[in-house]
Amino acid sequence: MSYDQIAHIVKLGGTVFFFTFFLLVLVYVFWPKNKAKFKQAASMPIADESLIPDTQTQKTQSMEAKP
Amino acid sequence: MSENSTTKSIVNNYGIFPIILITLIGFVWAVLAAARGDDPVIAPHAYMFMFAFALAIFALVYGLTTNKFVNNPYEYDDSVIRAGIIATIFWGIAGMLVGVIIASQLAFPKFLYFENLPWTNFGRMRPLHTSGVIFGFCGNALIATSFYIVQRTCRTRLAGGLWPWFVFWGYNLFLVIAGTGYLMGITESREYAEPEWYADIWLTIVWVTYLMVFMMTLVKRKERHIYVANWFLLSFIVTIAMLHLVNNLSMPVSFLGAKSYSAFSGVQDAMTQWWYGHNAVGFFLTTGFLGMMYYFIPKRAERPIWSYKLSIVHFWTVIFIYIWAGPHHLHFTALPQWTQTMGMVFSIMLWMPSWGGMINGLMTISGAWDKFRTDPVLRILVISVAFYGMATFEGPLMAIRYVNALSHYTDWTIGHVHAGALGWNGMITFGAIYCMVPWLWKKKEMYSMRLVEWHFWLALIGISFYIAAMWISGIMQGVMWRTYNDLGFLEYSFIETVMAMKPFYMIRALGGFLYLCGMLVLTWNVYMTIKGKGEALSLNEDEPFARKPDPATGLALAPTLVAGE
Repeated sequence: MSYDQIAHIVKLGGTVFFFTFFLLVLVYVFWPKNKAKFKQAASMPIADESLIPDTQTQKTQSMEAKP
Repeated sequence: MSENSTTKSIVNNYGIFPIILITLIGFVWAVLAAARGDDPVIAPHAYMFMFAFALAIFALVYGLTTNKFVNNPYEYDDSVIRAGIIATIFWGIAGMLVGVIIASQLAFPKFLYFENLPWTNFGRMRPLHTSGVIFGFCGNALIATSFYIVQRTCRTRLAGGLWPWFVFWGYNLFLVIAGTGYLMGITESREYAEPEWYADIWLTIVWVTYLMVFMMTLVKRKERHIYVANWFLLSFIVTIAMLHLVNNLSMPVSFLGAKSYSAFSGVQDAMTQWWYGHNAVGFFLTTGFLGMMYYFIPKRAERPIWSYKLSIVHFWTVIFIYIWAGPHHLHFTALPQWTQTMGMVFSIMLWMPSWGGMINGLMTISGAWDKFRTDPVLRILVISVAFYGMATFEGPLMAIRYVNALSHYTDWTIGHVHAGALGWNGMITFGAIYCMVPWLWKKKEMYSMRLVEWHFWLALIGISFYIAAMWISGIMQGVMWRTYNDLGFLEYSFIETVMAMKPFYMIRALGGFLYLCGMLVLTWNVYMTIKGKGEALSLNEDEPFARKPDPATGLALAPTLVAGE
């Protein structure tokens, strides 16, 4: 296969791959089910105070601390 | 509950034996190179490695035998971050000071240059400046903030026991080896990748460790969703590993000598170097720092990210497009025309994700614009994003072939990179330091907010002098180089263009000096904060840190969190 043929396939394949990937990102971003997850994720930095946030882990932790 | 969780520390020697093994191997190589080195310049480096590794082995064995390595799995691993902030400040001062010296040498060639001291030459000190600020200042800032962010947003302690410390000390050892090497004249002559093969191998070990620590922390996260800042930081670590490995493929002349030759030659070599060089900007100085932006701006403004959807699109587009932009450094060279055009087109495409990200960062402040006036730390963070927008607008413009014909090899490029480096990377690092220092040393606030104001204005005026001078000088230089007279000859000799730049070089040195002064103000402020002076009152364990929202407010801003509980 000549250099020109390889270059042609790579350029074409790259364009198709990138565009498809971009569309998939958009689908993921606008998928209705993800809306709540993203809304919650947007506040992650400001609600990150304690190391063990949820009650479940707190239980485990106190169990470990007081055997 | 909290009493138990904070007092329960366990001895953790995890990872200590592999670290001892690595340092032992390094020590043996260093002894060999010191004893039978093939060239005179390897000896000082061999002794440095010997000293560092001997110290490390001593410290590790001492810590192991006296059970010094303890940690509390219910606490964040913050000690290595504190060390990282101090290293960031050290390299910031060093790198910026060398910058001011070499800027002054351009205006006054005799300034601090001594003919019998070859290391005072501009050519030796220039890579010390670039590496000092990029890898020393920005690199330490990235490692420290990434460790901070990944723990907070994954709600888990850093993985790997002692390995994060290996990353910190190993990285700084690399910096010392690299920096002293430049002064001795050891260089591969690859811009931003100057260190020779043995320093490269050492950095590879350190960087892979860094990647493992970061990844394993993500793996053991307690949050289901991986926060967007971590995606940006991970892309930075992975891509730098790849770029560093490929660009430094080389064959050492001897196992115990400093010199090596690149695996590439000709235009392939140039393309590999600028694939590396441009993506060092793209992934070290852009995506890594975007990780900082997506954490510290929402945190400081106490506002959720303006659009999380946009942040995801921002991430995937920026990483997929950036990696192709390198060829714009090689316009009008032996590189195939289509490759040059591809680099140009991808650079222009970068306008979209870059500005999307900038808008996302700026709009996160909306609803808290009053803080822009009252909180100088937030102002520093916001101004950094404005400079990000400015530099990422200018960059694609300069990548256009016929703009590049004017701008390339002129001071315009220097102005452009400093708008990005001083404005974006420097400012956001200052903002992150002002946020993290009171949080990490458990103080109410920085020692003095007035000094933060002073720093802000010193830095901003310094940047303005710097980039305005370089824009004028660069465009003037480019135009003078291409001016023909009526007979078709060049109008100006090269030395005439150099002489025309002198006043601008003086203004540039002044701008850099002001920026360095700002850095010194920061150093004083951080020092006094750690000492607990001024407004930096000590906090008890249970009290909330400076300017962090109390849990109630934090939850109120995220209604879904409340609903989920």
